[in-house]
Amino acid sequence: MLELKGLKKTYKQGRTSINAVDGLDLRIDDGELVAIVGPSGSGKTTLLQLISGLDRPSSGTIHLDDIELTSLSERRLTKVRGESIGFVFQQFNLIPTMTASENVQAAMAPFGLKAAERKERAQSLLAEVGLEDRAGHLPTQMSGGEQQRVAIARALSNDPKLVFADEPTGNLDSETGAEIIELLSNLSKERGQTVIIVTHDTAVAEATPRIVRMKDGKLSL
Amino acid sequence: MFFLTYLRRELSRRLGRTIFTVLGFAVGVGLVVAIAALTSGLEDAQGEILNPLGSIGTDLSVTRPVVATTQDAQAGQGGQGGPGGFGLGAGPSDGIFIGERPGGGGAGGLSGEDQAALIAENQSVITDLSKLGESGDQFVHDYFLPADQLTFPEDDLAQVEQVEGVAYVAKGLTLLAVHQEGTVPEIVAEIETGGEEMEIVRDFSPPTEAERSQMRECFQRGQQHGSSGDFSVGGCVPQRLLSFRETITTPRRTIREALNPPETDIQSDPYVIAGVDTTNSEIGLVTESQVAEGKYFGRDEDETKDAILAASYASRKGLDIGSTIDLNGTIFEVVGLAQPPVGGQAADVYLPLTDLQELSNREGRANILLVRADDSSVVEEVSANIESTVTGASVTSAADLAGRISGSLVDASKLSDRLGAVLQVIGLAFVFIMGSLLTLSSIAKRVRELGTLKAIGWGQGLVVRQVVLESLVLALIGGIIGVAIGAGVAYGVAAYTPPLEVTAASVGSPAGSFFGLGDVGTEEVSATVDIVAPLDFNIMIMAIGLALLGGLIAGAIGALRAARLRPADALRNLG
Repeated sequence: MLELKGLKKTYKQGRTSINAVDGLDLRIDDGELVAIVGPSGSGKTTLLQLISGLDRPSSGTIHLDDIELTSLSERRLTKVRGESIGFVFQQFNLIPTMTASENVQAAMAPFGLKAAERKERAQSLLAEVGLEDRAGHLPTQMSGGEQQRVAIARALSNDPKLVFADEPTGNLDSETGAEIIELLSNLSKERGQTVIIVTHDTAVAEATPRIVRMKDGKLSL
Repeated sequence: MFFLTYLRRELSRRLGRTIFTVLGFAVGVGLVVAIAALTSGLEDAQGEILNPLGSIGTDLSVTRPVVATTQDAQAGQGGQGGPGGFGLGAGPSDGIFIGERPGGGGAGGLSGEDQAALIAENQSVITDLSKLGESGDQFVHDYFLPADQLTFPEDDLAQVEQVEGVAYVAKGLTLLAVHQEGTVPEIVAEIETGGEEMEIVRDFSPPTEAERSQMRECFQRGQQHGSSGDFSVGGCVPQRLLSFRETITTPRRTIREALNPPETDIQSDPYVIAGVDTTNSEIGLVTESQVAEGKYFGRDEDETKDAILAASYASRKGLDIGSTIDLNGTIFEVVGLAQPPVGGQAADVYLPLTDLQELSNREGRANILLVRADDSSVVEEVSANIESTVTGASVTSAADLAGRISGSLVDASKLSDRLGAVLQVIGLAFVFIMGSLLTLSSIAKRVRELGTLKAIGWGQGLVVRQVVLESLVLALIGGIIGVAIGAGVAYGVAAYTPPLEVTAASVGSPAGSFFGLGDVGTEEVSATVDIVAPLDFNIMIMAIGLALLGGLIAGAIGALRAARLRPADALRNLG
């Protein structure tokens, strides 16, 4: 369960303060597939960074099950992030010098798995996203959709409770984008993982069971 | 280890950056290595050349040269005595270090005693041709002169041995030798004298009034006696007024007179000969370590007398190991060829001291003492002690000799001293700056990558370790390549640099123009030194260590940047 209470993030631009996220309350249950939608500048990406522990809120609390993320040290937060949260980025953010398999293994590296176990799990995850025959390819040797599948496999590598996807279809054509959303949807159903997709694409949002709309840093109807 | 896989991927798949960074490290390290190797080569050459005394196991050499000082000259001209500058007694046979200094006097600032000693020591330079055989005979003869480095009883070394800080004293005799050969000339001419007739007339002054009066009285007495018959006019004239006229014939005789100078075809060939104290083969005018070929004195069983030649002299004269040389009828076998140091007591021919003393009629005499101090740190102190204790001693140290050496080696060494360190600092700065800039550039290009790693659970320590590790490996590879580059450059520079020259006065050797013999002896010794650039293990380790230090610094700077990277900022800026 993810629960946000009074979450606020304020940026200062000169003497002006901008509330990117403005006192937001939200609860997302385990296994939910949620789309956070809103126009550009509505604060949805900021919200994702706050609840994924990539950024610290100005105020408010974030509970991931019984862990209050805002009170954790940077070291502990990094560990929680690695173990419990998976990320899928718009730009895929794969390590360009690593193969698909190595990119998936990169997320497991800090947690002391043996090399053979790492490779086996990476291969299994790549098979899960339909890339079992692309394990040895570099990102530059794969299409955008394939790269995003590798990113999804990497996000799942530590079997996280939460998977955040920030505009996962932003750099893909609509057909491939639909395939990615379907993949995320299936993972949520099959694995029981909570998947939160941040998007400005209403078509993507409509493919999810729950849509959270944002405007000016607040939830809107 | 996944981190090593990542490292390998980074280095191999960003090959351009890897090569560029590695070359950056390699160029800097290569510069440092090349300069270090060349500097080391120059230092080795300097060590060999600029420490001529060290190579003969000696810290100080003590001589008693005849040198007029300004003070001496002033004292001499003033005729008031005072310090003469030389501790000479009544003459060379009295020893040099004993007794009060005589007052100055004589031309050129030399005391009368010094002048006498100088002439006495070198009198054999005036060739007594009449002793070489009948005129027309061929002769070969060697003369030995101490020139301006006077001899003294070798027992005087006891005085120096007693000086505080002196550990060992060896004696030596260095003489200017002149090898002469040619035909005994017509050296005597017979001249007939005598038989001449000489007429001698003596003139006298007019008689005085008293003499006139006396003569008048005498004449009057004669007239009064009339015919007594025994009167003579001449009897009235004073003896001095009687006219003297006589013819003398000189006796005939034959005078034999030496022609000066005699006409002759005599060829003179000067060289320097040294008598070596062979008591200790590690300290002496030539030491065992200087024998480049053959053996040192006393290392063979045969009965022949041994000589060691300077390699350059042997080459010039076409002599080699086993050759013999005839010194006034004594045959010496060449047993060794030596490489005497530039600036030291370089001689052309080395004999055991007793042999040279005998040959030169200077039994029991020496003209140089080689002193080894208790410790290298007290050399200056010992030098001062000897000069203050032993009157008239001239003490020369390695530092004095180094100052007398000039030439391109010295110029190169000065250049190395001045520029070497600067260039090495530039090389090191190049390593550090290049490494740091390239690492920072790399980090800047990898912000998204490193931000992503942080986002997916890589802690700060892991990211820092990865960045530093990459930098260290690049530095290590660069360091190894840099060592190879530096070695190649150093070898190339050494191989294509013309030999460096050194020139030095041969200290203490009897040299210079003397008694009209012209320039004789080894007044200046020149040598060439091939510079080698030794690349020893320490230099290689140092160079790689410096590269790693550069890599560590560069990695640390890059890691600091990476550590400060907040994943949200990294992804926001680029997302």
